[in-house]
Amino acid sequence: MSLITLEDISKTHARIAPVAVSHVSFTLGEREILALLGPSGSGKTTTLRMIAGFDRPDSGRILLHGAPLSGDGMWIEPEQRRIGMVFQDYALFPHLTLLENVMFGLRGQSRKDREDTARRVLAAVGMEEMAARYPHEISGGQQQRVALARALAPNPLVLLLDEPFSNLDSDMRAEMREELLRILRESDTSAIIVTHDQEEAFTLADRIGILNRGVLEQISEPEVLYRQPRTRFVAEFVGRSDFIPGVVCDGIETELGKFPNDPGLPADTRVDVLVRPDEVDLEPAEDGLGVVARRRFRGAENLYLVTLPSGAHVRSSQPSTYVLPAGTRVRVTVRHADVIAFPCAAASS
Amino acid sequence: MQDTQTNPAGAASAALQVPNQRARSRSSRLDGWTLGILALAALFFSPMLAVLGIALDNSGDAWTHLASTVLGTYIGQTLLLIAGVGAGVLVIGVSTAWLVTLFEFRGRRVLQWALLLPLAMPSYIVAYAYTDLLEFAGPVQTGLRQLFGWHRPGDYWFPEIRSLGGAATFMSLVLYPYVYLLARAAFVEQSQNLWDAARGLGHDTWGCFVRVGLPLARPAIAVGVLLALMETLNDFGTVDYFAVQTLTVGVYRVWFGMNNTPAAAQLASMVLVLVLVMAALEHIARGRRRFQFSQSAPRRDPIACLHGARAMLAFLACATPVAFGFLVPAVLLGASAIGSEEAAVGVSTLGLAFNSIAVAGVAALVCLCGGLFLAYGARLSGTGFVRTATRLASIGYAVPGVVLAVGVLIPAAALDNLIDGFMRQYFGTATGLIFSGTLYALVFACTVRFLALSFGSVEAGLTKITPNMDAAARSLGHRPAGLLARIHFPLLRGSLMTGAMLVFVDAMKELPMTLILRPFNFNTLATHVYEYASYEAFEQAALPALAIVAAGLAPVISLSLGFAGSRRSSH
Repeated sequence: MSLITLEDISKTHARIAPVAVSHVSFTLGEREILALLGPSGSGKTTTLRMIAGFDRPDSGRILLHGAPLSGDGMWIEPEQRRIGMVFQDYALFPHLTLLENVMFGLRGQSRKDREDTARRVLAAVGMEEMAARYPHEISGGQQQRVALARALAPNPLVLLLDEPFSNLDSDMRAEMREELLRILRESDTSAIIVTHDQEEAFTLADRIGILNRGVLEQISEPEVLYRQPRTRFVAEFVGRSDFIPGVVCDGIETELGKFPNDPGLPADTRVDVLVRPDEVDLEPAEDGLGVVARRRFRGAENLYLVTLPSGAHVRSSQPSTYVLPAGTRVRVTVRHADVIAFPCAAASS
Repeated sequence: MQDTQTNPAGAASAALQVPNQRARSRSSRLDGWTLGILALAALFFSPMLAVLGIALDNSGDAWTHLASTVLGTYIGQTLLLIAGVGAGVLVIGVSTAWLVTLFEFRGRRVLQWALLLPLAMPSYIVAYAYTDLLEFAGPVQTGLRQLFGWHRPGDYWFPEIRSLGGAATFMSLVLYPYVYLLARAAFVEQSQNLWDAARGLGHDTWGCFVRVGLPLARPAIAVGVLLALMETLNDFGTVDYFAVQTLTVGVYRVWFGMNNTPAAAQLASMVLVLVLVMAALEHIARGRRRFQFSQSAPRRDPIACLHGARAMLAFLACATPVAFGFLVPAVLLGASAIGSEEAAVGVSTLGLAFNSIAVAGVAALVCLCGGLFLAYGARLSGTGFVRTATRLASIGYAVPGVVLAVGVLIPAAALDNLIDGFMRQYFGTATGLIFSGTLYALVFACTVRFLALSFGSVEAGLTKITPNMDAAARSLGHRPAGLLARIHFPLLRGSLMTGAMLVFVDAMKELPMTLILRPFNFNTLATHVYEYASYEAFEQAALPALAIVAAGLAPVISLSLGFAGSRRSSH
């Protein structure tokens, strides 16, 4: 049985946006790490807060081990859910020491036991030596660790993390990501992480759900999202993507050749075919269709922008030693693993 | 992590037993808050409505009489006083704030907080003290006459103390700290980078101040000046003593002198409109202040170090308002108090102090409860409608005490008559006065006038508690009650103390409402000082006046500790 189940959850913020979350359903398995990825205002945080019990869904059900937390006339208060949360601003209690912050969620034991547990969890995040300090006396990265320790200390069934690394600089972020992964794996904790950073989602998550304007567009393993995006939004949002125009006849005709009609689109449909930079090869050729518009040197790769006769652009990722000057005519070949194409918005009417 | 692994399904099914009543009770509790806030807002706004309502009554030909005689004087003198005090507090407040934040000179650290001391001096006490010193029979003029051999007033020129100019001067001397406090905060919080940028673009210190510092601080300065002007309009003791014919005095004279309530209410309505305009301006200025306060890297150190004559001038410029606004009147009071060495004065002062503390203490407690209720209501519902209601509920801080007294006493008396009549008719007993002429009316009026202080303190304290802290505490297994006890109360304690203290001190200093609304033969320190000063028996009032000043020092000390705290945390 899955740990957390969302069934057809909807929520409207009357004053903020017309629809915050619309008919969202997904599950979280035991020991799974799920990332909710999407642009700001896509409903990620609202979804998280409904699971934690801070916000109330308008409709739908949220289940924990098959028993409803919310929906069907049920409502479990957040303090009874055993769901831990790490907040974007950490929300450490300024009047309590780090140790007292971590002890805050431990109840029903002797003070000594609570203190021992808190110290052990603080040690797990490498903060035991600062236990007597106050939150304002430590750095942002350290506050992040304490917030994590505080949420983990009561041994929650699920840990929710709301943009946990957004207030850290990029070096710190990479380090904390690894750290978080280690701690979650060691404690066998399931987690849902809300982020707008796809690299973060790719590094941390077993599965990723893409939210757009309150709608869950797709939820699957990272590779599947990248190779088989189900909607144009997912294709554009995840990874680098270009589209070239094409028409369905016997396969899909484009200026870069004919591709198999893998999506099974009806004949005569005008479509846009997804092309990823790592699928595009360039070769200098006098009779080539493309012209190199510019080259961006990015250390490990050269990213080329190539203009096609139709005016469409594709990008191509080449080794850092492969240098072609701007203006070079090139032959462009596409190595598709799966052909992804979406009907043109304009042509569908 | 494995030790307390209970059966989650069991936990969830146990949770299943919890019915869904909380969901509904929460939304109805929200409605309760809203209703409560509306009721409170209506109650606290009612004196203002009452003033306007009574003003609609027919005042006979009193109004035409007033209009043809003193109304022009009332309006003119009020405007002149406002202009004088406005200019005075602006010059003193901004220049001293500028000097202590931008320059380093000997004595700056002490002056920085000493400049707040006049805040402890009610303007009427300063007026009494200086009059005692500077009037014709006072030591200064007597000394001059002996020195130069003058005899009659016509022999020489000496500024008339009991005049509009005198009132404006003394009020400026005690009210400038409002401007100083806000201007200083604005200068301190301005980003160092902005100043550095201006200097890099070729402006000297003065150019930076005029082109960057002052424009950025303008909204804060405007708030300070408006607060000082509201206090000016509120003042009754000074203008009454100096026989300056302001609208505030006019309300009192028409009400008790001419016994014409509707005419008094009509005058009071004019004042009310004036202060509500000021309150609206203040609200606008405050609103604009917000964005420029959110800048990073506040200035840590003064820009330039002054030496020699310049340092001396800066010191004198800052020390003069402290000397004349606090030290001189304090010494005068002390000398008078020692001069009248009667045990009876000491004993009666104790009794008066007890009355003052009782009234102020109850007012502080009531204001604190009201402030807590309003601030939590605004936090929980957060709708613009409720925020407007809380603003209306606390608008009384702008309304002069005399005007509020009109709006409280007259409806209270009407209510008493109604209840008394009802009880006589149906139960044959007379209830007499329940609200008017009792401490209820006085405490209520103080609450209306000072609620903004406690509400503001609680609200400021609540902003330190982020909604995520609430959420964190609950996800860590604490119920809302536990959340209040373990997170909110410890974090709010300081703000609650501040709010209560501010109300307490202001209620102790308060004169006009106490004078009008107090029960018969009930005296506080403030009314005693007023009465004895009117009898020209100031020595009898010196000790009670000192007691008021001593109480007034409490917020000054806490503010100056705040200065030290902000300095410590910025380093």
